[in-house]
Amino acid sequence: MTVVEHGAPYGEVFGLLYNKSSILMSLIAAVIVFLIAIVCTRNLKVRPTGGQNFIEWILDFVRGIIGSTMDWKTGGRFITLGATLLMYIFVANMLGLPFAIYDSEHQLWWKSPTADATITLTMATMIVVLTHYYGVKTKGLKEYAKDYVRPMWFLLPIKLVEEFANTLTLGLRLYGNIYAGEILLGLLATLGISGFFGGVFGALGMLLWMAFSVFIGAIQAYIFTMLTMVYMSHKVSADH
Amino acid sequence: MFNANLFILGAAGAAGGVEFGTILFQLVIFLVLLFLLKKYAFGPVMNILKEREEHIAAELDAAEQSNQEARALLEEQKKATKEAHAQIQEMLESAKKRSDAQAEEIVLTAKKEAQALKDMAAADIEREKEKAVEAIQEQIAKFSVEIAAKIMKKELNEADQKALVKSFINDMQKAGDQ
Repeated sequence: MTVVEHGAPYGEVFGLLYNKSSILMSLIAAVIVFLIAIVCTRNLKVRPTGGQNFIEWILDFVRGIIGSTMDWKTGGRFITLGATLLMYIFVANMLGLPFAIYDSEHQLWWKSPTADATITLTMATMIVVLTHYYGVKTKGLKEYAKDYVRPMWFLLPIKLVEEFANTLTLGLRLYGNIYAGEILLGLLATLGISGFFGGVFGALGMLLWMAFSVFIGAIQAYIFTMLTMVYMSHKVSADH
Repeated sequence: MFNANLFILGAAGAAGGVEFGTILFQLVIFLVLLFLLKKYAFGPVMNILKEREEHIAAELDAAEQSNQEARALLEEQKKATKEAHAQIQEMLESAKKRSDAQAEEIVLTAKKEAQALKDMAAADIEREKEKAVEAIQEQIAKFSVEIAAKIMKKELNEADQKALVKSFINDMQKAGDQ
C-alpha cells in the first residue's frame, strides 16, 4: 500500500509556494462549470427549454437556500455567489471520483481540488471575509461592530472565536469529507489489485463508495452554500 | 503505513510553509469564475426570470382587468335588457290605450254619421211630403178651375147650383183640412 504515500507537485512563483495539481484541478473545475453554464444559457427564452430549465432549477434551489436564512430583499444579491459555489464545489467534488493520476514520482495530479485543505480554507476565508464586507456595507460600521457585543458584552470573546471557528469548520468540513473519500478510493484501488478476492471486494466496495461519494459531494456542496448563506445572514440581517 | 505528514493540512507541511501561491490562484480562479458566470450565465438568466415574472404579473393584471370589464359589460347588458323590457311594456300599454281611444272615436263618428244620415233622410221625407201637398193643392186648384169652367158652360138650375156650390165648398174644406 505504497500508493497512498504520495506527494504533491509544488512550484514557486515570486517566492510563493503553490500546488500545481490543486491549481490545475481547480481551473478544470471552473472551466467545466463555466462551460455547463454557458451551454445551458445559450438562446434564453421566456418559455424555458432544456438547459435553461437546469440553470433555472439551480437558481431556484439557491433562492430557496437564501430564502430560508434571510429575507429576499437583503439576500437576493447573493444568488450568483450561491449558485457559483454550489456548482463549482459539486463539480470539484466529482472530479476526483472516477480516477486519480499520479506521475512517475508518485505525485498526485488528478484529484478533487476540494481534497486540498488550502483550497477549501481559501474558499472558507473568502466567504467569511465577504460576510464581514457585506455586514459593514448593509448595516454600517457601527451596527456591525455592535453585533459583537450583542446581546451581552461579555460574549465578545466567544463571538471573536466564532468567526475563526466558522472559517475553519467551513473549510475543513469540505476538505475532510472529500479527502477522506479519495483516500478510501485509493485504498480500495490498492486492494483491488492485490489479488482475486481483493479484486472482487475492491471493485464492489469501490462501486458502493463511489455512489456514496457522489452523494457526499452533492451534500457537501449544498452544506457549504447553505452555511455561506447562514453566516451571511448573521452579518447582514438586522434581527440578530 | 501512512506518512505522518500526510495528515498535516493539505500536505503543506510536507513542503513546509503555507501555499500562498495556491491561495492566490484559487482566489483568482474562483472570483473570475464568479464574474464570468454572473456576466454570461446567471445574469441573463436572472433577467429572463425577471422578465417572466413581469410578464406573468402583467398577464394576471390584464386578465383581472378584462374580467372586470366583462362583468361591467354584463351588468350593462342586464340593465339594457331590463330597460328594453320596461320600454316594451310601456309601448304595449300606450298602444292599447291608443287603440282603445281610436275604437271609441270610430264608434262615435259612426254614430254621428248615422245620426246625420237619419236627419237628412227625415228632412228629405218632410220635403217630399211638402212637395206632395203642394202638388195636391195645385191639382185641386186646377180641378176647381176646371169645375168652374164646366159650370159656366152648363145651364144650371137652382137646385143643381146649390148642390154644386155645396160640394165645392166641401171639397175646399177637405183640401184645407188636408
